[in-house]
Amino acid sequence: MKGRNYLLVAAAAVLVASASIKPAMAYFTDSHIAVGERTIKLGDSKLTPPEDSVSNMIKTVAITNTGDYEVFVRVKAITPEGVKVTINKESKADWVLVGDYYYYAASEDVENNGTVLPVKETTKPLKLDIVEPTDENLKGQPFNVVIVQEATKVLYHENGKAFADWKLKINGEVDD
Amino acid sequence: MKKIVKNPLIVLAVGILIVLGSSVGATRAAFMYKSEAEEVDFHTTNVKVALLEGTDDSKESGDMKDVTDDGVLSFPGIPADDVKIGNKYKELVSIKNTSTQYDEYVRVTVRKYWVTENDNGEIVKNPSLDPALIKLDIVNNNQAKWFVDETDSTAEEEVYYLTSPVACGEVVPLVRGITISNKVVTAVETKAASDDEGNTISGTIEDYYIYDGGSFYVDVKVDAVQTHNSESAIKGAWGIEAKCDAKDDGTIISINGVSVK
Repeated sequence: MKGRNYLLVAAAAVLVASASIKPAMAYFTDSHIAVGERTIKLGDSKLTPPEDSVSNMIKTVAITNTGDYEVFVRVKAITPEGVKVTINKESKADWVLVGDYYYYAASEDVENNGTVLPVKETTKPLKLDIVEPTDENLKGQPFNVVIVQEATKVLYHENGKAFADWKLKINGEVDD
Repeated sequence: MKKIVKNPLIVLAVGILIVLGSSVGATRAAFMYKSEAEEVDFHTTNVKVALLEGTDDSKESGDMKDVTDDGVLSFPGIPADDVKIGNKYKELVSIKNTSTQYDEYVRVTVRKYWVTENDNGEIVKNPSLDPALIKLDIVNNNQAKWFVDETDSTAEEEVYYLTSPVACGEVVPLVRGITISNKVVTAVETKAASDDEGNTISGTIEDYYIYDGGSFYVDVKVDAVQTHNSESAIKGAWGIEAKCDAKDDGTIISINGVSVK
C-alpha cells in the first residue's frame, strides 16, 4: 500500500514537471556544408654533379634537373689565384653573369626572368673560357676550377608569373 | 460511494478514460467539421540557402553550379595534379537565398586544414601544418560586406556574417580565389642524399619538403535563419548575441558586443 502511494506521488511529480516545461521556440533555419581538397606535390629537389668537361681551355657545364619539381639554376666557378674564367660568347644568349654567379636566365633580372628548367631536362651548355695565369711563378702549374651549382624551386606570384627566391637555394658542388 | 472514491486505482482509471475520451472527441470533431477549405494543400515555406561554385559568375558566360546537395567543392579552377605554389587560382564560391518568400540572415564558417599520411599509412588531419598558408580571397567590397567574427575565429576556422538580410533569389559572392603560400617551400628538412642501398652520395644533398604530398582542405558551411524577430531568431539558431536596428528584417549592428561597422 505504501509503495503504491509512492508510485502515485511519483506520477504526480512527472505530470507537474511535464506541465512546467516551457514550449520550445522554433525558427526557420537552413544549413549546408561543402568540402574541397587538392594535394600539393613539392617533390625532391635533387642536384647531382653537373656534366662538365674541359677542352681547349673551355670548360663546358650543363645541369640536369633530376628532381621532380621545376627549378631555376645558377653556377659559380671558383678559380685559384691567377686563373680567370669568362663566359664564352656562345653561351651569352642563355646564361648571364650577375655577381659571382652565372644564371640560367634571359636577362640580368634573374629573380623574374630566369629560365625554368623542367624536370628531367638539361640546360643549354655554359661554356667558360679559362684564362691561364700570366704570372711566371704560376705558369704551368696544375690547377682546379671548382664548379658550384645551385637551384631554387620555381615559385609563382598571385598573377601566375614565375619568380625565383634564391634564399631557398639547393646546392651541390663538384671540382675539376 | 466513499469506498469507490477512496480507491486510487478507480480514480486513476476514470482519469485515463477522461483523457482518452477527450482525444477521441477531438478526432471526431475534425472529421465532422471537414470542409472544402481544409482540402487545400497547405505547407509552410522554409528559409533556404544554397552554395554555388565555379570560375566565372558573369551573367553571359557564368559557370556557377549549385553544390549544396553534393556537398563537394570540386575546385574547377585548380589543376588536379600540378598545383603551382604561390599562384592564385580562381575559385568562386557564392551563397544564394533560394527561399521563395523569406529574406534571411546568413553566416558562413570556413575551415582550412592540412591532411597527410601518418606513419601507419593512414590519411589524417595534420595540425602541425599551418592552415594560414591556405589563403582564401574573401570578398570584402561593395559586392558584399562579410564581417569576420574575430572572437569566434581561429587560424583554422573563420566565421563570417552578412550584416544585411539576403533577399529571396539574391546571390552574394564569398570566395574569389585560393593561393597556397610560397612559405610551404621554406618548410624544409635537408639531408645528405643517399642511393638505393642507403649509401651517402658525396656532394649531393636532398631537401625534404614537409608539405610535400599534403592535401589542403577547405570546408564551407553556410547557415541561414529567418529575419522575422531577428535578434531572438539569431540567438536561438546560432547562439550569439546580435543587435539589429529593427525588430524584423533589420541590419545587424553588433555581434557579441562587437560593432560590425
